[in-house]
Amino acid sequence: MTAVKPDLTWPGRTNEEWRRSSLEKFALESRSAAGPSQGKPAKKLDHDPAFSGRLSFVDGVLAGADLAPELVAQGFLFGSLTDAPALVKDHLARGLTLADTLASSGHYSRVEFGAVLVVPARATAEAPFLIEITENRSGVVTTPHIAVSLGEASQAALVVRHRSPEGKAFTVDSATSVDVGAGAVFRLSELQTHGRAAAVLDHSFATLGRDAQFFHWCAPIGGGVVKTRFDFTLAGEGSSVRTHGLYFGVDDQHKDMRISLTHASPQASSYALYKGAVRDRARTVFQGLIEVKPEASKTDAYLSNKNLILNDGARADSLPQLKIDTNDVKCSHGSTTGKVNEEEVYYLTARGFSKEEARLLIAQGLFAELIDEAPSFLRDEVETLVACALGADAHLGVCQESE
Amino acid sequence: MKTLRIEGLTAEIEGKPILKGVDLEIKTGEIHALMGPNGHGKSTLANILMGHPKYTVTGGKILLDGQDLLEMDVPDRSKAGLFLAFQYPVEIPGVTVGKFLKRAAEIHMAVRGEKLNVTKFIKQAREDMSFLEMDQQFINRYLNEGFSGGEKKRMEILQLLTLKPRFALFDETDSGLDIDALKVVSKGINRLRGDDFGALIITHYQRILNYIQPDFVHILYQGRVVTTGGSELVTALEEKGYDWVKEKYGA
Ligand SMILES: Nc1ncnc2c1ncn2[C@@H]1O[C@H](COP(=O)(O)OP(=O)(O)OP(=O)(O)O)[C@@H](O)[C@H]1O
Ligand SMILES: [Mg+2]
Repeated sequence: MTAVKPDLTWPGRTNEEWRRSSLEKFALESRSAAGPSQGKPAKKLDHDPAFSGRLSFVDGVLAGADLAPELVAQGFLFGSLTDAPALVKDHLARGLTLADTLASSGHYSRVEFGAVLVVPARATAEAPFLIEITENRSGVVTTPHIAVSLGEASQAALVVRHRSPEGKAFTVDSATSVDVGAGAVFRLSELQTHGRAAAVLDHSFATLGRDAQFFHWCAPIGGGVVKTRFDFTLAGEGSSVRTHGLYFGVDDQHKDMRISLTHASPQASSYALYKGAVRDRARTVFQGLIEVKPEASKTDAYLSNKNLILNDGARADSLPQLKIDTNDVKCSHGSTTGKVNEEEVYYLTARGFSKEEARLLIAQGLFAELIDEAPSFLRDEVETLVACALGADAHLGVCQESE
Repeated sequence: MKTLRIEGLTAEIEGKPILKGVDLEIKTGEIHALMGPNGHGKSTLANILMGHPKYTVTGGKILLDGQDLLEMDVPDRSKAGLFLAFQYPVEIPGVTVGKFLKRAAEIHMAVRGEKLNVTKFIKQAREDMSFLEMDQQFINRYLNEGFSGGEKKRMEILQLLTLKPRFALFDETDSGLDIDALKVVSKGINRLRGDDFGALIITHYQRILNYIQPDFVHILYQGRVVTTGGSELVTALEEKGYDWVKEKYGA
């Protein structure tokens, strides 16, 4: 599963994408690859009707698996990378083609473990698939990959959870590759709750066929340093992407997220809504690019990024960008960065709310529309994570103290 | 009986003096109307009473039943029983009316050592909403977001009925309301009228005062309450405008 792309170099300070994040913090060169773990063979999980299937990876090993029997019969595939070598090889090769530096190619030449989901043409899975990737190892680079392929006119939803306990200093260099076939509908939700000592790198991509629809939702909550990139390619005519992100910078967290939406066909639409909040000494960077190729007439694209600065000393950069190479398109982008509105605080305090509670409520309100987009079984948890990230009292008993 | 007493209040905003010695006393059981031309300090007075941080009080006193109101922060004033119905209620995206109202009610009940009973609260909120002829769906909407002017004013009155304050200030609650909405809003205010409730109704027009008969009418002019009377003052203003006020009291 390894390939190398020649002529790539490490991103330097002049690399626009990496300008605001220090590569050294990801310790890619000083930490060694985790390598295959000595794990027990996967345990068959009991079937939970709330999910079409579940895969659980612990320290690089598939620890538990389940797939609804009726889906097996229909030809669904949900298992380890080794279960679909040809498909995985193709996805990794394409990922490598997209890579423009050693920071992004590393994953594709080093993938160690991961999952595949193959949805056959015209099949529909009602309940979501769930992949949980848990890391407990320190001092290593782990490289999980998830490859997803939806056949023509199929429909499925996948939830991916990445997590690790506090105090584990390691690097995760992950990626998800997605092919949404013609007329297929796919929903991908990603929740990342790593400990603060973790360094998180991710370079995912999705390619959409004709009239394909992709709903994407992500919440990179944890990690100490985080650098993610998601490239969406609207390759098919009439395809559409809706991507939502909510992110937080707390204490010394550094999060740098980039999405690119490439319109390569006519009549495609994209909608991106990303909201973040920073406090303490944290910093976030959002880079969002809409690129409209000459052949992508009648493109409809919208990109919005909003950031809330909760205290002086915290910083959020917003860099939306449009690159339009054709006429006859409808593109808009906007970004706002600001503090909690004091007139709103006054209004709530005039009704008896303390200043602190008013600020929290207003900040939480900003994320309500993104919490609503979370998978329903995660909503309460996400709501709590958001409240804690925004500074709800740790002694409510629901917020974990970190460090 | 409780008293809200304002004595020789002077205040400024960004160094510009607005209030130049306001004296006013409101007792529970009384409804006061406050009128005056645009920009003469009516909203300023209301917001200083509530504790808006952008105004600086430079002199005078405000006593709520003997307690120094100026020493209290905004939430404490609310919890002490003061309510301001805003001239322009702000929108709070992402915070539902239901969540907001319930928490506000809970905070106020805690002051009295009571615990909120969710079932009772919901029942009461529904009753209050139908009393104010509001769609029950409002409970799930984000606070004031996308509300029409009239809907915002009804929402202020819904909060009034939920919190049942001792003293309420209505800053142009009647402005921008059609006849039906004006009747509903007046009905809401009249529901609280009684021995335990005092109000200051800031308005430019007689029409709300036809529904809510004031006991006293004051005119705020150039940062001072220049004259106090009864309904005859309202009639005089409707007929003659403010020219006579300017002639008589203008600096
Ligand atoms: N932020 C501010 N900066 C400077 N001046 C201000 C500010 N806010 C209010 N003012 C001024 O304070 C004065 C009093 O305003 P206020 O809103 O109290 O008037 P009002 O009597 O309520 O008028 P209206 O009938 O139009 O509501 C006005 O001259 C106004 O321009
Ligand atoms: Mg006013």
